[in-house]
Amino acid sequence: MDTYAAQSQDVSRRRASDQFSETIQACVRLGREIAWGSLEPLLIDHRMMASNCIITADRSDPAHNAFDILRTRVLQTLRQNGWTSIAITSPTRGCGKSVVALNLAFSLAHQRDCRTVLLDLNLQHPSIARLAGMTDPASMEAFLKREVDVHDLLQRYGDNLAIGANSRAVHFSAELLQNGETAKVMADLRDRMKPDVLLFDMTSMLPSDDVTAFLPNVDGVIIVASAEKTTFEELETCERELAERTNVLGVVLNRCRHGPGY
Amino acid sequence: MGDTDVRFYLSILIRRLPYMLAIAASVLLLAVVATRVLPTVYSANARILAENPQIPAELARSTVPTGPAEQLQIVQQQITARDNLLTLAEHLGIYEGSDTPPAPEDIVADMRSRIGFEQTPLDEPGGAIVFNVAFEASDPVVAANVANEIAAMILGRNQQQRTDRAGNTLKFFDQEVAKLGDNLNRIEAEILKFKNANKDTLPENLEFRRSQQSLLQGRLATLEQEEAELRTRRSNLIVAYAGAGQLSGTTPITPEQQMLAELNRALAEQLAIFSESSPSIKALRARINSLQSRLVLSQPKSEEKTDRVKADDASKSFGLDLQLSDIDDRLQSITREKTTIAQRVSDLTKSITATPASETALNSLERNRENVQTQYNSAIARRAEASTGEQIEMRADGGRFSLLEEATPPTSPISPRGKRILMLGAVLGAGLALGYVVLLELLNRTVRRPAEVVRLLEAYPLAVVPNIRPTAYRRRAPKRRSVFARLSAAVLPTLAAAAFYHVPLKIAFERLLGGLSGT
Repeated sequence: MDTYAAQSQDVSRRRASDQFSETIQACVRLGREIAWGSLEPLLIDHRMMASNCIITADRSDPAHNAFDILRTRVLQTLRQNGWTSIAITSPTRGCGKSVVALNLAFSLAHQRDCRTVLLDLNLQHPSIARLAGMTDPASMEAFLKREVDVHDLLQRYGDNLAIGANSRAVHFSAELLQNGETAKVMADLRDRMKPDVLLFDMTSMLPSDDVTAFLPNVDGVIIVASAEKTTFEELETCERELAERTNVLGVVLNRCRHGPGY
Repeated sequence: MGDTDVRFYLSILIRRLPYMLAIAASVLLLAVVATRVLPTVYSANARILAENPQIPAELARSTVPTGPAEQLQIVQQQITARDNLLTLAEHLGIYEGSDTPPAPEDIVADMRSRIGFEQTPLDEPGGAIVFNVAFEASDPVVAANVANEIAAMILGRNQQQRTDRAGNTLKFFDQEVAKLGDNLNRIEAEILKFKNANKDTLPENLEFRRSQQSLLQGRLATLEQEEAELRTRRSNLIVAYAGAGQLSGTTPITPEQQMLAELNRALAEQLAIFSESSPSIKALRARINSLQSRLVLSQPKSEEKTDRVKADDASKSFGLDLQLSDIDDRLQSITREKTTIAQRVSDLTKSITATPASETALNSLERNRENVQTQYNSAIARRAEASTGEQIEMRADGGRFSLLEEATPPTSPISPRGKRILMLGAVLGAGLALGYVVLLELLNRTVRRPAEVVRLLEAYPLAVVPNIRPTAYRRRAPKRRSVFARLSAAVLPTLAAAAFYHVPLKIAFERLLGGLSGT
């Protein structure tokens, strides 16, 4: 950085300022490149992922179109509003949040100019590691308590997708998520990784207060509803509560047997 | 929207198809089991023809005017009477096969439920009627036997009833005739007695008595006339004797004396006809009186003469005395006869006066007799009619029942009706399956399709992710197996229950069938 600064002293003020900002950006890019490049690459077993319904990585299933649509819509909304972070939750457990999150993440990974970080903040029932076939995930609790560095947490898939899985469940998860330190850790993560999209796979909304506790750290929420499992009441309650506190990007209707025409 | 809705519901149906098929199949299986488990029931039919009278009612009326339908109803009630059913069951040994003899109430109820009477009127109204008598039993031969027995009972009872009725009618009229005959005899005896007691005042010889009375009165007049004549003759005789001088001392009869005698005679004649107060009698009496007074003036002279001849009177007046005594005898007999006649006339008058009273009494008696007679006559006529009716009934020419068709042991059972039960099972199964799906739909409160999300949140879903099937099918297999496990878990206990509790099942099924068919 010092050599760049020394060079900039010779150029005109305007140019210098342009150059400076360019330099800053370049530094940022570089920093990001360095940060991203230093991540441990993630090797995935496509067959295993397919059997776990993660289909957008190799586009083996025609259903990946739905995630591509979702990706495009999410990206557009984020860019329009200048948002980056999105929590993915559901009214109850088992609606397929993690699958949706992973699929969305891999779909985003196909978008070359977009860097995506997916964090498994489902501290009660972490499942990203299992679904993605990650071998030795770090502890999210340790990361949130700054005991583990971000580089040790995240694993990189391709150039632009980093996944932070969780190795074990956490007991007082809501308190941990609501902790001021956590907000700082998140800000630090954003600062260092500079992701275009930051996805949080959260716990389900209704049984616990994890999501509510973490909401100040996110720009928007995606609700995953499982067709024929989520009731009207659950979906409506969840949506109302979230809409009161943050921006709801929309509802993803998962496992829908009836096509969009229905 | 409608089109997509139909497709949506169709897709739901298709998804639930395994369950629906399972339900329908198990119900159908139940039906099959029911057809196997349910006891077979045979129904035998005997047909009875009930005809109307063969002799037209206008010519001769039967004494049993009830129509065949009513007669059948009466006989039906008699046959389904408790005692009769018990006798029938015992006689035919219907319940001999059962382990424990059922209670009489159960026998009666069961028999009643098994006996069927059915009436099929032929086309023309008032014409013959065909009755069906059916009996249900588990053995076709028993069913036929009982049906025939009941038919025979109907025929026998009908015949017996009809003849009984006809006989009763005849008997009634017989009694009536006898009673009225007795009445008649009694009244006639009374009349005879009355007539005997009042034979003099009976109105029938009133005319005779009246004529006799007038005859007697005529006779009385004749007698008085004769009496007057005799008196005149007597005085004439005396005058004649005196005038002829045969009597000493007697003076010849003066013209005055002669005239006096004539006047006296005339007076006697007139008295026979006229009453004392009539003017002619008065005039006569006046003349007699004046003549007598004149004669008295000239009497002394004649009296002297009389005294003078008195001495030799006796000898000379012998002939005169003879004549006079003759006349006096006659006069006396006339007086006696007159008394008798007067007595008889007064008797007759009395009897004639009493006649109207006895006539009234007699009339009332006779009116009474006439009334009884009329009743008696009509009773006789009716008895004749009743006798005819009885003859008709005896010869069975009145409306009668005849066995049209004997019951034969049926070859195929009426229950269980396999096809019907199976059809019912199929329909019921389909209904239940459909009901199951509809119920699930009604109870389903989950989000199913994007349209529902739109309706709920008024926003289109961000994305609709189809059901992703994992490429490795390891997880799918146990799920499918579980469906079969559930199916068999549902069906097998049912079958087991059907096998072990087929008796209550049978009752339940019979009730179900009964309720459905509405019998």
